[in-house]
Amino acid sequence: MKSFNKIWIPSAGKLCKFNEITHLQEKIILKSLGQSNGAYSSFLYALGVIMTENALEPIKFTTIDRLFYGIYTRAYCFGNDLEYQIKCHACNRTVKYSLNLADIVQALEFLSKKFNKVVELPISKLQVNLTVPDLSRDIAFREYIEADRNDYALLSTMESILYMEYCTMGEIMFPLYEYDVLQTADIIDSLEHEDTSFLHSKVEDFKTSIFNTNADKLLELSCVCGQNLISYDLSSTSFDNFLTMIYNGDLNTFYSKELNFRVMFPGGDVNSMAPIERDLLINLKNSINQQAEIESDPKNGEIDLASM
Amino acid sequence: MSDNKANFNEAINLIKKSAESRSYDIWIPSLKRDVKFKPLNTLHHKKFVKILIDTSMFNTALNLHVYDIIKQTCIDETVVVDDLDIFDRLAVCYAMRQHNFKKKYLIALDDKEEREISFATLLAKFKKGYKRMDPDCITEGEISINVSLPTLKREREFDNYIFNKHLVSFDKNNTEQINQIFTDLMLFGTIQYIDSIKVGDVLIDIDSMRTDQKVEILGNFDSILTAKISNYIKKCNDLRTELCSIDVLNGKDEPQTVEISIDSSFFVDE
Repeated sequence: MKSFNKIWIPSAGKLCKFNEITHLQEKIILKSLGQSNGAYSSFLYALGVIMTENALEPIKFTTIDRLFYGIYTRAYCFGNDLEYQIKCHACNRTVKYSLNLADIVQALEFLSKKFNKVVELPISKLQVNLTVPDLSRDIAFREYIEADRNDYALLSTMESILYMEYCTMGEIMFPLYEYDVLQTADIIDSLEHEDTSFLHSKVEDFKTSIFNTNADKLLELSCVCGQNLISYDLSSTSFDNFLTMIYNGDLNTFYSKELNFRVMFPGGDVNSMAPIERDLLINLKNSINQQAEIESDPKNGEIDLASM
Repeated sequence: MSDNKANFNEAINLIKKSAESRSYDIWIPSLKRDVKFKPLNTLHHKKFVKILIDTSMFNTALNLHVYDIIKQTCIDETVVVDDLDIFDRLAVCYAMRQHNFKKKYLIALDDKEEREISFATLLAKFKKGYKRMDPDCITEGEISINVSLPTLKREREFDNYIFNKHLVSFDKNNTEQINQIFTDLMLFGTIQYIDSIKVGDVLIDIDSMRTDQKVEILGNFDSILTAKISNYIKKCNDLRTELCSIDVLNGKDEPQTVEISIDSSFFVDE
């Protein structure tokens, strides 16, 4: 029977139901890490698509919801704890640094609130309403970029486009959320360069302000080396970078857990297994191998669950 | 427009209309008057950067882009952009650089000192005392050729030919291709200056010919005729150098003449 998880979704302000992540989806997420292209990563795209696929409630997600889904899923698949080695600049020693994802989620509680900012462009006087990007829009942008990764001109404007919800010119509103990728890019391209530069800088400020809302709480998660407070520099990163970081550390763990042996069980498919089933199977295989070593009768890596 | 909500096309048109309210004047030497232009937009700027990265070795793509910009930003409907000449384009380029870029334009002198260039001084040369390059008639035996400063239409035709022949699939590392482009540029560059050809009483309708056919006609001229055309082109180039040059003081307070050439980097702020 398929089970589901309840995950905190800030934009909905409640716990929402999601189908449990499968082994195939785990593979897609982690393999996408290796195919990422800077900020416009295949990883964030894969995570967003899987989140949408697994959602059991019709909710219009934002990219902040994806952050929570990503943290939850990481903890669910690989556990709550993350360990890093970081260098203390004061004493030059390498210090072990641990992060607990449950603490991170708690520190991010204020992200439940809405973020909006209106920016007036200096030349055209166009008023641009900035907001946290909608996930479906983020996915659409990444699909476009995926199709043409060499479109550097679009890459450079993409981050700003995502955060633009709508514009107003006098009494007229331009509902950018109704326009497609290229149309929104065309709106930016038709502005004067000074306006565009100003817009890019304001979007960066907006992103920083969202991050800084909880930065002090995240900084409390620092560790101490002698008299010095050191930490993974969360204050200068972004949520997308942070999300990528917590998965990057799992690549080795994942490959050691990948089911690269033959499994036979009635009506089953390895890829549809949940993380807990996968871990059970690995433990089972390990114990069989250990037993086989003792009895000098290796099973050649094959397990026949049907016969058990 | 429903409920004051603009669809994409309406939004683009409103932004374009808003840009018209910030138009500025550019003195067009051949028309001897100011013409109104809209400011450059972000796409124009991006394309300058792309040209600098892709084909900075040749001005072909740049010329084509500047032509498009003039067409898109000139808001005086009485101006026929195709009829403007290549010196008008120089004046437009300097004025656009002055109006649309905040950053100062610096040029490195022989002694490595940098100087800021005053576009107002350069543009004044296209206004007061500007003498237009007169057309000429070159004759040799039975053949007579009318030559003049190329119009933007004729230059565009030539640039399109070079661009489609070579630059669509340009490879910076292919020396053979680069040599071929330089050869074509030299040969085809001459054609732009030819208005009409007459052999005896027969007028050759060169405007109706394709670029490769024009090249073939040119290839049949004897060397004396070609040298005379080259002499006219040299006079045009000398006048262009004079128009594009400016005197500045070097580090030792000595005057130095520098030419402000318009290449792919001219429109790109570092």
